[in-house]
Amino acid sequence: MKGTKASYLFIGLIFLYFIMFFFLPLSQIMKMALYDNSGVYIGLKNFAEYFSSPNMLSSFKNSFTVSGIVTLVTFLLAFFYAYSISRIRFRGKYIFRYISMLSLFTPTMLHGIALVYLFGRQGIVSNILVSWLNTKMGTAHVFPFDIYGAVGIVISEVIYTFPHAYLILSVSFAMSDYRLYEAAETLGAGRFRRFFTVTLPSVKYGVVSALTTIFILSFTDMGAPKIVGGQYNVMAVDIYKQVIGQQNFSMGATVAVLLLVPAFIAFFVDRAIQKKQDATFSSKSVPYTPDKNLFAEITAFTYCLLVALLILGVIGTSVVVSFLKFFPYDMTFSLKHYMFKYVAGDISSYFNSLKMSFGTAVLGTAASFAAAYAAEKIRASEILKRTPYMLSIMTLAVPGLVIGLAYIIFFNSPTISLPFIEVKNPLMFIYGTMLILILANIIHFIAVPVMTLTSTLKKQDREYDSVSASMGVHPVKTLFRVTLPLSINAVLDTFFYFFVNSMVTISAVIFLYGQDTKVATVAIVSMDDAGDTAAAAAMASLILFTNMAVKIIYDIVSHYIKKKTAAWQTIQR
Amino acid sequence: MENEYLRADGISKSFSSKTVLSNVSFTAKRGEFISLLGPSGCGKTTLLRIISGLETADSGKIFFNGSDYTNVPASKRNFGIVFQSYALFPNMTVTENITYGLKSREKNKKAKQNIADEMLNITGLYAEKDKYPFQLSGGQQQRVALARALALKPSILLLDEPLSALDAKVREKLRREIRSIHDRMNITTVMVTHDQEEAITVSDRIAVMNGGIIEQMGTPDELYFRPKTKFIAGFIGMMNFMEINGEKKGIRPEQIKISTSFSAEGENAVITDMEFRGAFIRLFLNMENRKTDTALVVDVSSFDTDMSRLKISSLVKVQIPESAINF
Repeated sequence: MKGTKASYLFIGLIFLYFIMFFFLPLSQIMKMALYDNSGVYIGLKNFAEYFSSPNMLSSFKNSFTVSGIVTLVTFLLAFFYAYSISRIRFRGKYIFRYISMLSLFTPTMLHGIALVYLFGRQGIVSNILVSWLNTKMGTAHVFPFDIYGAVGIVISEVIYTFPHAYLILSVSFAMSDYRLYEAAETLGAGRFRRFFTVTLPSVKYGVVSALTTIFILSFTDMGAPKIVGGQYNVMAVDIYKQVIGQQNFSMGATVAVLLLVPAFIAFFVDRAIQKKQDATFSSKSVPYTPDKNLFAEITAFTYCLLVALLILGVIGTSVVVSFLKFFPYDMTFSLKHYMFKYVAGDISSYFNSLKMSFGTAVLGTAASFAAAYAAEKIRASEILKRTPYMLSIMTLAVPGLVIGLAYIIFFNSPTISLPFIEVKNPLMFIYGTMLILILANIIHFIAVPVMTLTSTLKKQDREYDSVSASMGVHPVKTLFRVTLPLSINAVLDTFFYFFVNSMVTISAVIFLYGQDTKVATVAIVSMDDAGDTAAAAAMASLILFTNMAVKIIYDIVSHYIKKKTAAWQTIQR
Repeated sequence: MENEYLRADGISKSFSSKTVLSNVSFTAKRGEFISLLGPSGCGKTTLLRIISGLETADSGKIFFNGSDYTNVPASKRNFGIVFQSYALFPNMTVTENITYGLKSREKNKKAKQNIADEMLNITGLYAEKDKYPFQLSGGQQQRVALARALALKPSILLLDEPLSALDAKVREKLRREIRSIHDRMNITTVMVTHDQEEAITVSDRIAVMNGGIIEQMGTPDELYFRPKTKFIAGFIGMMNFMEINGEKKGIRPEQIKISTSFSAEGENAVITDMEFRGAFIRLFLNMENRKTDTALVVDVSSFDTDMSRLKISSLVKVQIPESAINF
């Protein structure tokens, strides 16, 4: 199909965006890994150095160990949680679903801080509870493990990755076809046979997707290990230490490249699986309706309650402690920690976070809509219009830390060296501004919104645009009068997604904030470093409260939109 | 010029090595109702989209009223289109849908309203004018789509399988309505359909398409009585093919006479299957002295008492008429 000049210009701009803000920065990181700090090409020497350094090598092993354990634990927890909620009847599912989502609203540092309060040297469980028990029973037990290290990281990451795994798996469970169960039952298959022959095969793609997602999230997170890792080093924290602590950019880049490799592998595995899943799912599927089974109901309810309490317990600890005057010595209520006085961070970082998240939400929604629009609505050759979509999905493989490091290297350099030529960097001015934080966040989070918006646009009748064209109506009018109004729910989702993720992110922004653009998550890390743990907990809680408030606003707005559009929205659109 | 109001000239189109249209040509007179009829995959919808300008042909030209329209974009052709899915905007009322294409430069709200009212009256939708599409039945939605296309006073109306999503009863009623709107507005119309009955009943002329070419174009009775190919004969109505005196012939099921009395003239045959079709009974016969690949199909009136006594494996006499079509 032939496109107009405007449509080529539109696609061209999207290309330019991804080249400027994704490919070029990323290529610089690869390059940097092959040079030393004075800019001399040294080939793979950095990598050789990395693998011959016992410290680095142990981080490398630690990262895989921790992520492996987290993947297994989170997967099992989330699988049965999702199974219970979607396949077994019991009350209170809405609350369980909501609680499971809570850690999407918190920076991972909050989990780390909570664990320190619970199991640290003066922890509620490790110290207060144990010594209370000792005096009660006249024993002299000591709390058996040190929370700083692998155990702390694993627990934090499990809580962090749980909602992601739960969401993926519950979508899988929701997609399977009830008619298959009815068919199996009429053919005489019992409960267990049905589980192994219908349930498991129908969620197998979701299982692989959940496993890769959990692994990558925990493998690339630095927030929790930074707080609760202690002497137990992992790669994500190594990058931070190399770059911020030692200003060793080329070693930082080397670790970043090593971090990218498993992320890319997981990405391609997930993509390949996703394609298969799309092929098997039929739109005629009938949703599953659970039948009565008292034993299963009680077991499932108890299980979900335990998991929910665990999540609430950890997140709640940070929140509660942030309101105590001086834990554990003076346990009276106080708002003192929310004043951020005499600590290594102040309230302005919170406002910076709000600004950054709002900016990311506005610009990110526009950018992801543009990419989805190009893929679905623009008249151009198939390859040309699919490329923006593919480009945005590819960002999924690049961890935030790597994006942050790539941006600092790329936008701080006065020249861009392309193969054979060197040009002046026209975008150096964004370095150290709010804009660079926003741009990094957009690239970091753009994949999911583009997928959501594309599938929304795909559902709309392709002929809307043909009709408009035949009537001589300008495509822009159709965009605003038809396409956008019909996608309003997905647009709102996207806005919310960008906002919440930008509020909690640390990885990309830790390298990029400037004098006046320090954000709340960065402040949490520096307050915790300085020993102002309660203030760090307060700041983390503030982020949680903000996201919860935004969630409430989001619910109100989407309810209002639903009411407004009820006149024309069919029951299942 | 009146006879070549719309002309497609040697249109070819392929999608990634699959040829959809090869060298297709036809003309439509001003005010004529033309159908493009054919099985799915014959290229009829692609041809319609090329006429509309939504698709570009690989080669060939489109002329409208004497001028070359091949490179005129869809938005400049002023051809109205109704799609199979209707593509009504769900977020707009019936009136808003109808006035959507009216240029904003037509600031005069009154004029806009007048056009909308006129269209609502023509299509009998006045009572539904403030409803949203999902509140309407399939037939009503179809009429909104028609009204929306007609509101712009198009030079040509293009209909892409406009009735195929509807129930049989509604379909029959609406196709008469479409024809009557066509007659009242005297608007040149090109309709794509796979339903031969629909094409026969509403069209002035039909272009029967198969495998990317037009096999034959003509009035419904020309196609029925003088089909040029076996495909046309089989596609428009039912046709038996057999060899009579060494010549290949085609005979319509209703042309063949059946008799139950043994003394009657004709060839012996046995009934292998039968279908009650309401007004007639369709018999499938095996001829005693004639080898055929498929059963001979014969339609007899279900009101004929002799015939209503027939059963599977009954013996009958068959009279093949003289006036069969040669192939």
